[in-house]
Amino acid sequence: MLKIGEIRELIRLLDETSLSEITLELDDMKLYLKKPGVDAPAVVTSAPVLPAAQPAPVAVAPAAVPAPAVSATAASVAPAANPAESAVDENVHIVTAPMVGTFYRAPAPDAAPFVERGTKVNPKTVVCIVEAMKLMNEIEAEVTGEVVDILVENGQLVEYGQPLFKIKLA
Amino acid sequence: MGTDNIRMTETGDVRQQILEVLLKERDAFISGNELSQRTGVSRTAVWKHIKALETAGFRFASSTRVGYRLTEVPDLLFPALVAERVPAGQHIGRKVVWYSEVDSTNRVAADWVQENAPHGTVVTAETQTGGKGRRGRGWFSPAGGLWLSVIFRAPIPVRVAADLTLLTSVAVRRAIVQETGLPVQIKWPNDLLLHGKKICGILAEIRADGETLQHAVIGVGLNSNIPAAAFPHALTDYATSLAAYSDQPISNLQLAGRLFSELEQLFQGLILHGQGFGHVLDEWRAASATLGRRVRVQTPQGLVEGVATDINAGGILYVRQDNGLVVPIHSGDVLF
Repeated sequence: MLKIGEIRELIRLLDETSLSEITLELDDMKLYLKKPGVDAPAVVTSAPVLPAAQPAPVAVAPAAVPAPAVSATAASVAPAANPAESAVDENVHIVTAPMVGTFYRAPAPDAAPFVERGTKVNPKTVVCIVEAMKLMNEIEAEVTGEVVDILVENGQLVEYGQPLFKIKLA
Repeated sequence: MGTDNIRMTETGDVRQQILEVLLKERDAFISGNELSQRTGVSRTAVWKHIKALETAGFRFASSTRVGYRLTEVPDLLFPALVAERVPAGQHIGRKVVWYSEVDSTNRVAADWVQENAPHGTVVTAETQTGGKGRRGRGWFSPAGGLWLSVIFRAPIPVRVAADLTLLTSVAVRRAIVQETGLPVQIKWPNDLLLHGKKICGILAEIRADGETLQHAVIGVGLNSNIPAAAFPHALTDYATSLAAYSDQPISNLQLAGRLFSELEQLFQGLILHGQGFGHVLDEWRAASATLGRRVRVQTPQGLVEGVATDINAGGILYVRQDNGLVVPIHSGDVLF
């Protein structure tokens, strides 16, 4: 599953290269990006290579790519599926990703997950690891309560600020 | 830990004090009585500490009448020996905790974090029985290698914390090149290779408070002075050591001294001036064993195959697949 930031990067890559289109198929999604014809270059960006986090391409890139066809299933839709609950329930704490990286529910592939639905946690309980560049960020629950929902699949790439867990406050 | 395990900590430790006195006056005999007075323990206790130091590889000339004289210093990262290579004002290596054996220096360093060990503390061991690789993998850690973990404490933003492992790879490479001149390359993101085989792995573990880093433990495993013949058969295709390609023995003390100096410089740049990986990106690119090559990358999201075209200031690797699609990769193992 690609995150918005990654799709954004792909769009930028498309802009910066001589490629005219990109097709990407993953297990759970298919992405097709196409540049307008050479006669009508839609984007003029004089900036050199920008770091991924630069916000600039966000506003520009979509204009360059008319109708990027993105079809996705399951996981990315999940948070939206129960908006009422997350919107109104002030007794629920959302643990979010503090950096871009790969989400792991266990310390090692053959180890038990740090937490499951129903696990009681305190503020120092490690609930998952987010990895980037062999840097393992052990994420703590930050509150006392009970894990009521796990919003990300093991091994999935997570964005900065992406919700990971819902914890019902004790 | 076995009963034979020896630990050396900061100044203040009696064994350390005895060693410092003997190091300072290496040509002279120091009497057991004087050592006893200067450290505040009995002569019998002094003798026990001397025996422990001998177990660790120090050699002494001793005589019942005149006392002890240091004759041989092992190539180990004892705090007193590292201290000679850490200039005033440098954080990295200011405090060193040395063990003859631990399960994992990263694990023990996490304990020292709880003890409020300061920024720059180095936890090191002669051998590791459970050296850690990525995602629960092991790391072969016999005597002769450089096994250490650096405790980093500075409130940098977590979103740039991954720069720590990338900067560390550059620091280790600089130290090796300065000390040996060997053609060390960096394999994305932060492995070091010598003639295509792995000689160093870096693994960091961090804790954050919200979006601010609390601390990082940065583990470095460097196959320095390990004879080529010492590697298990299963590893010989993938791993090698500096010693295997060097005519002279490699000094771990010298390597560590250079490494701490380079880490200090790069980490201070990050802490004080926000100079992250982008600051050494060109150096990384020039030393890269990955860019421009055909690679297969095992990522948690699946296998990506193609040509590694570039890396950005965030450390993200770009791989151009045969269908022309360029895929950005945040984490994974590059397979050759």
